[in-house]
Amino acid sequence: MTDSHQTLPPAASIAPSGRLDASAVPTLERKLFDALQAGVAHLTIDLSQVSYVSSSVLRCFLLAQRQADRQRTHLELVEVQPRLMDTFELCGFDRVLHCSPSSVSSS
Amino acid sequence: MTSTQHEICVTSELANLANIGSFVSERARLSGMSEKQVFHVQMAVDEACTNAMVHAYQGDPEGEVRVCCYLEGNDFVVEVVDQGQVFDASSVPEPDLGRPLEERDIGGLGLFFMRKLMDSVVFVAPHEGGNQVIMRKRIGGRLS
Repeated sequence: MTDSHQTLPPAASIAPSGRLDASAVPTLERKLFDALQAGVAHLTIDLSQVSYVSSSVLRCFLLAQRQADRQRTHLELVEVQPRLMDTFELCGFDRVLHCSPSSVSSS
Repeated sequence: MTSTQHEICVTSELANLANIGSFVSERARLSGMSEKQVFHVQMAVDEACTNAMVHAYQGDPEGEVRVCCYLEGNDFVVEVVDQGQVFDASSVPEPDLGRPLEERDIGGLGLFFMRKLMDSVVFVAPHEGGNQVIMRKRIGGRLS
């Protein structure tokens, strides 16, 4: 997994890429919670370059959303690829996370 | 009738999940599955292998995880075998996906995906120890 991480208080964005399986969780978790600890008002997770997320990563998003709700940070997952959106819908995460689909249609 | 078996054997490092994913996706694609089915199979196998590495081997990276794929009739079959501690899947409660965020238990999602995405998931406790998960997906079947 590669990451770009840019902090521009009061907003921050994280843009992981590639396949996000359990091996990606420690890095992703650290970046998410570092950004939340910085107290940003708005945190965006850009998934445009992510091809896969496992349940370990979904748990990580869920924990981050809980923390965001506690501290009133608006957490948003953007550019979610169709297949990932199917995964979110399958486990009902589309109802508890703020996520928006990719603006680019996939083949 | 069962086809030739194809196998990958790796150590229980999480870094090997990507290799397993590539192997299984290729075998599933060659079986004639749609890309959506291929995605589902590789996700179910990823979850089964993560369970082996995290729960059966409890994070020890020196265990062995073996993944074997074959065709049986119109089913694509994947077996995931480890020699770690016996994992009792029946003890893992199914996640309640209707609960509000703050009340949600964060465990059990991996098993949920395995059962949801495959047509059959069977856990076997081999006599020699460890765990064996046998998953089947009908080629061109539901969720195709």
